[in-house]
Amino acid sequence: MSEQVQERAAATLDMLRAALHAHHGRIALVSSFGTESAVLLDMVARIDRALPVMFLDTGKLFPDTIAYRNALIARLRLHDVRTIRPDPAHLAELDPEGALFGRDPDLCCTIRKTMPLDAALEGFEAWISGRKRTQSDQRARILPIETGPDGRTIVNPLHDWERTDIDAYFAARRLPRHPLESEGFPSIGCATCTRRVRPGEPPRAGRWSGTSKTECGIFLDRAGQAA
Amino acid sequence: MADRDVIQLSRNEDIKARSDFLRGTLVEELGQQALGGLTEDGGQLVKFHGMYVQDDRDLRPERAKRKLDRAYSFMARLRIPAGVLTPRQYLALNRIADERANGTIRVTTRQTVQFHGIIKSNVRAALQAIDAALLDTIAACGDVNRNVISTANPYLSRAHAEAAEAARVLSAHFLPRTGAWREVFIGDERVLGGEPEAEPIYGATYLPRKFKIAIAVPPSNDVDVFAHDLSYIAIVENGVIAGYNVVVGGGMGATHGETETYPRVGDVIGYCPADRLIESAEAVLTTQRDFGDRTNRKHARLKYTIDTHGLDWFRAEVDRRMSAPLEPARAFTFEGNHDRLGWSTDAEGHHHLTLHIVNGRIADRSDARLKSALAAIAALPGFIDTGALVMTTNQNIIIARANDAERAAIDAILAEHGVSQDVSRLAEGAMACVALPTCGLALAESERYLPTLVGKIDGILADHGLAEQKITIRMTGCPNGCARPYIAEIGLVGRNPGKYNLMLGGAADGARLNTVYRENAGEAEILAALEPVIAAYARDRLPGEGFGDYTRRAGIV
Repeated sequence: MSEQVQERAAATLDMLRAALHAHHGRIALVSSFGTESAVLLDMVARIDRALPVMFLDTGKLFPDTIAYRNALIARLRLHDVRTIRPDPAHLAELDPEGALFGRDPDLCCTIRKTMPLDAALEGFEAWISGRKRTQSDQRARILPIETGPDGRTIVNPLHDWERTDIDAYFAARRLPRHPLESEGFPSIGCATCTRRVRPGEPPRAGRWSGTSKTECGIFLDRAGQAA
Repeated sequence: MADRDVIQLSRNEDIKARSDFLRGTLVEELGQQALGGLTEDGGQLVKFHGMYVQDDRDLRPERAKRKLDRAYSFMARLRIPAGVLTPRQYLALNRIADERANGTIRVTTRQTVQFHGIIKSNVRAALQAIDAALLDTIAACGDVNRNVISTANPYLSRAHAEAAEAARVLSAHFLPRTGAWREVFIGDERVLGGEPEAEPIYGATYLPRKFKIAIAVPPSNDVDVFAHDLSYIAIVENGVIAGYNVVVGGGMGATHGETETYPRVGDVIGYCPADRLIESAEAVLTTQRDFGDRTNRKHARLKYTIDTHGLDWFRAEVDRRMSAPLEPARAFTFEGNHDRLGWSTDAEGHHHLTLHIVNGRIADRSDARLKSALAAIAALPGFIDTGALVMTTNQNIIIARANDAERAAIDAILAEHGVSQDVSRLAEGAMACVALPTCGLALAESERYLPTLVGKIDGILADHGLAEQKITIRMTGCPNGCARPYIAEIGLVGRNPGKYNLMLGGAADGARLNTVYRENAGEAEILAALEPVIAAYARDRLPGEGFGDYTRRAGIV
C-alpha cells in the first residue's frame, strides 16, 4: 500500500472507530455490496464484525451482487448482515407485476429501497455510507459527517477517497472484486435500471440511463414521496 | 472424575484436538508429490475443508497386480447454501471440471456440486479457481454443519427467497472461524498478532459428527425435512415466512449388522418465530456439541443423542439455551418430495426450467451433451447477467430467471445438444449416490447401475398400466444413506457387489421410514419380488393412494 493510501486508510479507520464509539449500538453500515463496497466492509470487519450491515435486496438485483455479498460475508466474517426487503403489501398494491421501474422509477425506488431502509433504521441514530465526492457532481460536496434527509446522522468515511485509493486498498487487502466490474459495470444497482458503461463515460452513467434520475432516493429529501 | 478418566474418545477427537484448528500437517502433505493421497490423519482433516481422498476402485486389481499404489485423487465438494449459482460461477465450475477434475460435475443431494478425480498436484489450483469464482469448499464435509439446503428456487416466491436467505445466514453463522482453508489452499498468510483464533461456537474439537440442516417451504418437501439433524418447516403468513416448525433428530446413516445404528425420521418439537432462527439452531447444535457421543463415531449423530437422553430432555435442554422456549408447533401439509420438472412461470413473468439430470451427473455423452448444453445456456447474452442456476436436493438443476427470448433460446440449445426431458415417471423420482468407482465406502454399484434397474422396473409398471404413477426410488451403494434411501417408497441399499437390501413402505412425502422386504438380493430377485407387489398395487389401490402407503395398508411390509 502506498504511503498516501496507508495514511488515508488509517485516518478513515480512526473516523470509523470514532463514529462507532459515539453512536455505540445505534449505528449501522448501509452497503450495496457494489464495486467499491468491500473497502468499508473490510474496515468494519477490522473494527467490529458484529456491526449491523443493512443490505437492500430490492428483488431486482443482479444475481452476481448476491453472490458477491455471500462471498464477502464469509471471507470478512461479518456477523450481522441484514437483508432488507420491500413490504409485500406495497408491492402487491403498487407493483404486482414487477414492472413499476419502467413506468415510475422514483416510486419503484421509494417502495423497494427508501421505505424499507427507513423502517430498518428504526431505533438507529446514525448510519455509514460509502459515498465519495468523486462519484458524481451531485456527490461532490458531501461532508464527512452530515445530517441526512431522514434526520439521522450520516457518516461518509470515504468522502475524500479517489479511484486510485480504492484500487490500492483492494490490492493491499487482497479483496475480491465484484464480478460485474470487469464486465463493464463500474456502478451497480438493480438489473432493471443499470446498463453497461461505454468507454469514456462517468462511472454512474449506467444508472437510470436515459432518465434525469441520478440517485435512488435514500440520500434525498423524503418530502413528497409516496407514503 | 474416575469415570471420566476411563472414557476412550474416538480417534478423530484426538486428530481434531491436535490439529491447531484444522491445519495439521496439510501444507507439508500437499507438497509431497511422491504420495498421491494424504496420511490417515490428513485424510480426516481435509474433510473439514470439503475434500475426500479417494481412489479409482476399478483400477485397484490391475494396479495391485503391477505392484502400483492405488490411483489416488481428491473429491472436492462446494459449500453452496440453497444451491444458487450465477451463470458466471457455473461457467467457472465448468472450466474447473475440464482443467482440474475428471471433466464432469456432480450435483449432490445436498444441493451443491462436487468434482471427482482431482489429482494432488491440481488441488490448490482447483480451490483457487473456486475461490476466484466467489465460492468455497469450507465445511462441505467433516464434523461440522454441512451445506444448508432449502426448498429449491429462491426466485419462485418471496417465501422461497426468504428460505434461501435463511439457509445462507445459517451457513455463514456456523462457518468455522479458522483461517486454515485460506492458508492451506489459497495461500493467504496466517494472520499473526491479531485477535486470538478461536471457534466460539464449535470449540477446538468441533462437533462429534456431521450436522445437517434443511429448510422446507410447504407444500414441497423436496429437501426431505425428516432426514436431517435439524430442519425447519416454514410457516408462511401473508406471503412472508413468519416462523418455522423445528424438526430434530433425523438421519439416514446406519451400518449393516449393527443394530445400535439405524435410520431415524425427525421429530417436530415446536415453533420459533423467524427472528429467532439462529438462536434456535445454535441451541440445537450446541446441545449436540455438548452431549453427542464422542466415543463412538457410529453412534455420534444427533439422532442417537436424542434417543439416549429422551426427546423431552432434549426439548428442555434446547429451551434452556434459548431466550424464550419454543412455542407449540403449527399446522403444515406436505404434498411430496419430488421436483416439479419442466418450465414454470412466476408472477413477474420470469421462466424457470427444472431440468432432470440422471443421478446428478453433468457430463457429455455421445447421445446427450448435457454439460456443453448447460455451459452454452449459462453463457447466453442477457441470461449470463440476470439468470441463475439452482441445484435441487433431488440432484436436478433449475435454469432460473429466463425471459421469453431466453426461454426459446434455452429450449433450442437443449434440443441441439440432444438433451431430452422425455423420461419415465419412475426415473423422475429416482436418485442414486455416487458409489463406485470413486467412493471408498461403496459396497455395490449405485449411480452407474440404477438407470438400468429403473428401466426394468419401468417395464413392470407399464405391464400393469402404471407408467404414469409417481414412485420414489432411491439407491445407495452402502448403508450411509447419501441418497436418503430409507424414506423412499422403493429403497435399495448395497450390501455386496450386485446385492441390495430392498425396502418398501416409505411415504410419498418422505415422512416415514421404509422396511426391509428382501435382504441381500440380486437384480433377478429384486424384480421377482417387486412384480407381484406392483401387480397387487395396480389392482387394489385406493384412489390417489401412493405405492408406499399401499404396501403398508396391504400389510406387505
